Amino acid sequence: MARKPDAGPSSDPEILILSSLAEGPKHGYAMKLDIAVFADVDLGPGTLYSAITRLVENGWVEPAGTPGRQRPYRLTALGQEHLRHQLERMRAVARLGFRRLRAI
Amino acid sequence: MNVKARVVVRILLRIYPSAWRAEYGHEIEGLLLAERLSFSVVRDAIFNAARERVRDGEPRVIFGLTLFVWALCWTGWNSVAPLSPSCYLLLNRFDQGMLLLACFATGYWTRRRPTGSIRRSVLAAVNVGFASIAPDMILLVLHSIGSIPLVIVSMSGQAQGHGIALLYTRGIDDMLVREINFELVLFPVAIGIVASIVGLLGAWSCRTGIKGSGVW
Repeated sequence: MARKPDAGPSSDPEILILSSLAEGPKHGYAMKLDIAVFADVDLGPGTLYSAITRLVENGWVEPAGTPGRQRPYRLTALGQEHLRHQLERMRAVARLGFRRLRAI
Repeated sequence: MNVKARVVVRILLRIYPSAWRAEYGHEIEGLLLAERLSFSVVRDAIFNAARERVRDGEPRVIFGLTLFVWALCWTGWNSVAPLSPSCYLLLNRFDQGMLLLACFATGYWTRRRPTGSIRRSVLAAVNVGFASIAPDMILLVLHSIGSIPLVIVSMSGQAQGHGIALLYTRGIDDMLVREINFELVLFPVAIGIVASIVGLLGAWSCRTGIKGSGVW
């Protein structure tokens, strides 16, 4: 499934895939199951592989093997850096949002 | 997994660009076969396949799809709120200009690609031409087998009957069913010839450059 407009930045397929791969190399189906558990987001096969394509093109993820049914992917050093940067930005926004909510 | 699901998955995979399929086809096929093929899964696959096609930049798909949607929009608009004869004539000219431009650009762009050839460029331009008339052709076929009514609007703006109005049927007085059947054959042939010539020009301009422009 494509990300719902009201689902927020934490359901961005690319961030979810990078977060899933931060645990270790996984193939598409394992990523999908992992994301469903930790983010409660059901990524459709089309969305999942579209996002993987973009991540590979950006050099944030790399395939660990030749094309095949269960090819695993792993996070690159560049991908780790990108994920860390994105999560820090999300944390800063979340922190600010909570502070403002408390002030209401 | 039943045979029907396998056939659906094969069809879905065919929508993706071939280079993408070679890289990720086996993986997404496995994932699709493991899923229950619900409407949302099929829609997701089709949407992302179209997205990959656009990203892949196949000119015939980009221009063909644009003209197809354009034709569909105007046919819909014309059916809901019929245009005035002057507006129709203006739109018709614009339509023709867009088609020529799209065929030329498709020929040029296809030729520029690493796998580009004159033959591919001409075929791509013909595909774009056919895509631009596909909505009209589908409606004419449905009309000729009696599935849908068509509104034929005369030059005076008088609508005859109720139903879907085709852009190019506007302005033609008393269009008969046999004339519509004639259009079904003549129109695609004419579009095919024009698109192939313009596509060839596009491909040729890419190979030789347009003299005097300085940027080609």
